[in-house]
Amino acid sequence: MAGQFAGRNLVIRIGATAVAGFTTKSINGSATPINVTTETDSGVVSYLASVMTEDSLEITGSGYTEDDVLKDIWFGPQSGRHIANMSFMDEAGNSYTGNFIMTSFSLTGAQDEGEGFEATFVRNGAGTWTANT
Amino acid sequence: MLLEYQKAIIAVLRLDAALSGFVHEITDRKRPVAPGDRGFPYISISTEMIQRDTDTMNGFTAVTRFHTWSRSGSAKETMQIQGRLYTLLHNQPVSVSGGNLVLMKREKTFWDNDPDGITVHGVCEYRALLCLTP
Repeated sequence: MAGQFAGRNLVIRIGATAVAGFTTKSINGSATPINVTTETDSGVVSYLASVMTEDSLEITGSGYTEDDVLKDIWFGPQSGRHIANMSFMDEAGNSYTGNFIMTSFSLTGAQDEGEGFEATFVRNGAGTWTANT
Repeated sequence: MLLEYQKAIIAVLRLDAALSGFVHEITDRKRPVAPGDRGFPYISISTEMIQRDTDTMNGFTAVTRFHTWSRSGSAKETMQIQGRLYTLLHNQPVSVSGGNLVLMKREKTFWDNDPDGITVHGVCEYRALLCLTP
């Protein structure tokens, strides 16, 4: 399809269920190439081909609390913060699935607003990208 | 949702004996005034709704203005009505068909002299957060 995708259609799921209440989400990936620069490289940095290290993926988001799912995860046993089968899917139908760990959670209670939350999940191990064909 | 919300708000006001026994009418439009009109004080209501969705629920911010029209000769009657509105609405639960009222709070209230030189015009502005029932 051509054109932009609607941000609200970037959906975060735990298992088959969309995590409720998000108003903003961010998927952040980073990785570090391996520096193999030697004295013969004339001062120009070069990296090991085809390899990256410290490859990480982080899902962050915030929104209005609509259920107790994230609260139950955070305030329950620490083992519960290790979440199997967490995924995101974009409007085009591409999806990414992996095991994630909930590493931060906050609740907000402004006087003149609905209860809000912020949460961060980091990938644990490799995940699977499935392009929509 | 706007209709159901407004119906719920007007019902709260009309069911209050203290308020409904004091004002001539609670309506959703400013009434044209004919010479000799004795239908004062009355309340007219207007509402603006702004979308406030999440990924999984549609919601709204509703800003409702309660206009109080009084010809008592002073602002006292207007302020009495505004005080009763505060008691009935500020941080109070209101049941809205098809939705959930998250909160209702008064944002501001004021009064001024209408350009007709006779009427005192009071305005109370309330903000409500609403979610559609899934």
